[in-house]
Amino acid sequence: MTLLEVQGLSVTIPSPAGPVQAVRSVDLCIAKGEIHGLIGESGCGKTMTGMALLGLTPAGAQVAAQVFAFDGMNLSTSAINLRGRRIALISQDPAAALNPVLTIGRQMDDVLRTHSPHPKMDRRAGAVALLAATGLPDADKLMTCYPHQLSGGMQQRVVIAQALATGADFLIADEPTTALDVTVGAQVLALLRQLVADRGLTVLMITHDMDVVAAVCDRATVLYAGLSVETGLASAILTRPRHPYAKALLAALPDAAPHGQRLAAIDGQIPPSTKPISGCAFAPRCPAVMTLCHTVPPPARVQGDHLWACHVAEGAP
Amino acid sequence: MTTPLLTVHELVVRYKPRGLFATPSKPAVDRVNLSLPAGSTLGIVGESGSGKSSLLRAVLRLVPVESGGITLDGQDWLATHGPDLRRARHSIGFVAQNPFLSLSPRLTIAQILAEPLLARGDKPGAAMQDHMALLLFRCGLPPDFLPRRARELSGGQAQRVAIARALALSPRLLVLDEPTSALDVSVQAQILNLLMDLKADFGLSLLFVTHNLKVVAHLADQLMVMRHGCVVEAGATQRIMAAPEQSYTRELMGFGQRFGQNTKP
Amino acid sequence: MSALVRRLGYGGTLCLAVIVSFALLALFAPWLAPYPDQGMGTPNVIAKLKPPSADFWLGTDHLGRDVLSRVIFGARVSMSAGLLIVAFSLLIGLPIGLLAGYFGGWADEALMRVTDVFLAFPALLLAVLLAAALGPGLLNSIVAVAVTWWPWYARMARAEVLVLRGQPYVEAASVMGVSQGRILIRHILPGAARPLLVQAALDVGPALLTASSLSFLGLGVLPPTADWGKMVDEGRKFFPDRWWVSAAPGITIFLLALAFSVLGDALRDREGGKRRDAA
Repeated sequence: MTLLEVQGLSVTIPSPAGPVQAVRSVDLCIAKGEIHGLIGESGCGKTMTGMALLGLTPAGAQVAAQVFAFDGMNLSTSAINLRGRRIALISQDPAAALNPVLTIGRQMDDVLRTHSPHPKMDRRAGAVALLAATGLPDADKLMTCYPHQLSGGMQQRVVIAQALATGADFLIADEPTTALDVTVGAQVLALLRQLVADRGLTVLMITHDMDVVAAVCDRATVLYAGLSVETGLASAILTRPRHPYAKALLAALPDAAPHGQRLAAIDGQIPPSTKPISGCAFAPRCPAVMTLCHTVPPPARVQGDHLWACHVAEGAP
Repeated sequence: MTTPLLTVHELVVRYKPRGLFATPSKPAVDRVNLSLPAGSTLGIVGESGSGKSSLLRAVLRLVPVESGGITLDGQDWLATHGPDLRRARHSIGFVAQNPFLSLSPRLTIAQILAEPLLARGDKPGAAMQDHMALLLFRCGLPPDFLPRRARELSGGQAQRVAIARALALSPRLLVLDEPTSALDVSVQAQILNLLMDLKADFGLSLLFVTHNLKVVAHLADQLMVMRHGCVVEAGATQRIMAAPEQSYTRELMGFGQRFGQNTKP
Repeated sequence: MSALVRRLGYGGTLCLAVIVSFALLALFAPWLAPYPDQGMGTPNVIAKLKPPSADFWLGTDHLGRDVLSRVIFGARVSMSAGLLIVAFSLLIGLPIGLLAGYFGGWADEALMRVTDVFLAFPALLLAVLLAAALGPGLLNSIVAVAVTWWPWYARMARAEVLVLRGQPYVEAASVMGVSQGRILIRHILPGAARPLLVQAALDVGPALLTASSLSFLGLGVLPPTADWGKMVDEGRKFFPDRWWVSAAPGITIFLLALAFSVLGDALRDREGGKRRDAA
């Protein structure tokens, strides 16, 4: 059952240098109970896509889409209502997401009071239960602690508990482990997988880290220059990418080359976001580029549930 | 048996606790030993609080050392002070994590590159300009970058400038603190390639600190895993990656192997 | 022009225009004042205390001197007083703050305790005491105020230096073997001086007011030199019947102090924006 359906999403932000196309055309299709990875490097528009889903784009930004539906509701109009009720955000820096002068208990209570008005004792019990559900030890004692007394991993668990407290069934996680140590981040991701399984949540995992995708994602979409270039099962994208950019990205990873050998770096830079793109966005940097690629936008190719946009037919090197 | 370029012997670094009545803190670096032969690369891996950054800063003489010794090129490094220290620093190049913070935002690239040269006593002039253009060229940047400022560059370009600056005085030892952690994967690949090329061309020794085991496994001859100020495991990279002894090392490696992709041939 | 407006905003640019106008008035006073000799002090007793008219745009004072001319000549005194006070305070405070912040240790402690001693006194009171001790005269009153003002700049400079000292690019310089002196001049000084200069611009208004206050109390310029504070004092006896004698210089003080204040705000907004980007 499809929970989130997005087609042709674009976000244009006005700036002194002219309109910036932060997102040019992104398609997303996320089923209920799925952990969907949104993969890309800086400047690809992945964070802005997440913001558009929440209705949190910068002032003056224009958000447009052909299809923009969450559980049947049109996100263009109801994003504000859904935010914090059905859709919650877990962002990169947990310390910044928590108020440093309020206790954990107070912050949990603030969320619970807004979303499920119950008597105070019930709310407190509810908060403790949620904190415990995220694997935090001594949840009862934690209620009186301040965020700075917690480690980064514990802070992130509190943020996840807050997201659960809203009753949201769709979590947008924007690089939730980038600011955490590797081992701690692995635990947080394991927690998310467990919550998805136990509570039927759906997660959009925005990340640039392939290890994160490998660890938790069921399906994934690769973004480049504000465009979705490949979508499919995470395992398929990681082991057999089809789009030249996805291939190049995976080939550039340090463990893709033998020890001491040169890595397969990608030449060139991403196209500027203030200029329109003719043809394929990746053409200037693509090793398999043809003359056609510079002028004609690439067609969508399908293989089962795996989609990508490329002029080069599969089977070519 | 050639003397190693850098040795660290039973090094202890402890930060003073704040306040009059605070209990003494645990050491950030707890009796660490390492040996870096000339021309090789040592990667130090650890998470936050492991002491790897404190170890690096101790080698760079940015933090005081409680006990232990460091020798650089046979000399007692910790006993060098004043003008001798400043001169000796010329044999170490340093590249920090965020190039936009380690390059002065106010100066042009030319002024940034000139700084170490002037510190050595070179006279400004055409020869210096040529030298700077050469430094940029070796790091893959054209000379027309000289009049620009750091904020006009991309992350990868700025880090190349930082590497060029680190190599300005032809050091023998290059110390790098998470040089690619702030960069995208594709840019990281370019920088790692650049470092490998420079190492081969100039016979550099590299001391590389990172939290990313995969990066360091690709680049380093020797590996040292740190945790809570102590060395957990150390030795040849390929041996450790093939058969890690400690479970912590395995934990650092194990993340992300769910699909078994990208296994080394 | 549009670059100026972009940098300072419309309000800021207007204030800059006002300040520049006053500066021009001060510079070209002998040529711009309708009665330059009266502006410089020559009495004209026949025309004593006349209200504003076609001959005397702002009326005349108790010695028959054209108030407008006096105000124009007064600009010389007040503007130079305001600027010199701020300049002297910076010249003393900036180096002290730099050295205290960069070298730390006992130098820092010693310098900051000296600073604290000066800060313990209410500024105006200390200035009055010093001016009284030094004797009348414009330069004496400027020195008196500057001596009470430098501690603020020293404190500010020290705080900036402490932040800059920890910046990675400063660390990188010391790792490269750059000498401390060079780091201080090349990296620390420009970074610390910038916010101080903004603060200085904001302070010219209050400096001007303080200098005028001293003159008002009889501790500044000697008669017959025109000075706005002195003029307000002289006109007090005739207030409110012959309001123009006090009102003209008073409103002028207000306008110029306001102009500096708004300009400083505009500069600080711009500085604040830049600081945020750099962070």
